[in-house]
Amino acid sequence: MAAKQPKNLNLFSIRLPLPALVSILHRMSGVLLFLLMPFLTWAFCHSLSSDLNFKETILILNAWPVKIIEVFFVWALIHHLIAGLRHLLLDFQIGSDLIVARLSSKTVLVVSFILTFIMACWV
Amino acid sequence: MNIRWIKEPFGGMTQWVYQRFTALLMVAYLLIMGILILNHSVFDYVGWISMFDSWLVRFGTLIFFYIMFFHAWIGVLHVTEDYIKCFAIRRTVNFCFLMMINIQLLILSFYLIKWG
Repeated sequence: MAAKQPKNLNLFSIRLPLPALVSILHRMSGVLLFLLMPFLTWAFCHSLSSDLNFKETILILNAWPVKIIEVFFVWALIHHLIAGLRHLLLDFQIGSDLIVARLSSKTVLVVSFILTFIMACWV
Repeated sequence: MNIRWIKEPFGGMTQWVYQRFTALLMVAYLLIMGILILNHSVFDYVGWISMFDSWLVRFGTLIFFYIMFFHAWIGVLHVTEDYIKCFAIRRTVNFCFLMMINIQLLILSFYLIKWG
């Protein structure tokens, strides 16, 4: 029975629809956030501990290689949040029509990019 | 509605409910913290630490981290279940991630209770 199930292991032959792209990016951003969490925990605790340590944390966070990771982190956070809210609405069958779902997935991608860009320019 | 999920202590439906519920709590926390950050000068130490003067903010932040790691833990379980076929490797990876979460929560609890 199981052997009869079709398998397609070549991912490049699959055309990924936008809602599917949002979904996989939601998962990937979640994994990214989880893996980067120890660094945030360290920065948070280190910055709280003393004035000197706070200045040191700011210095490290302002270094440009760290900044690139921070931009990815902020994007992951915003995308995970907005896409998560979209999936929550879909769970309640709000916006699950194909046209609305396509539009909302486009909106999620665009809005998360714009917000990340604003955050990157602001800090 | 199928109520079988009540019998299974940590079945799929329970996970689904916990993950959505914690997500909403985290959105609420992030909104409140966003407003707090805008009202404090967080780029100097005095302003940054004054944000955590309030017992409520410290407690809320600690609860946030616990909720966040619980949410992440469910997510991690789903991801490893999907991509790691070998049971032993999956269990090992899950155990490492759980330790990672526990150590972070221990450190965060220590700092948030000790400081402020």
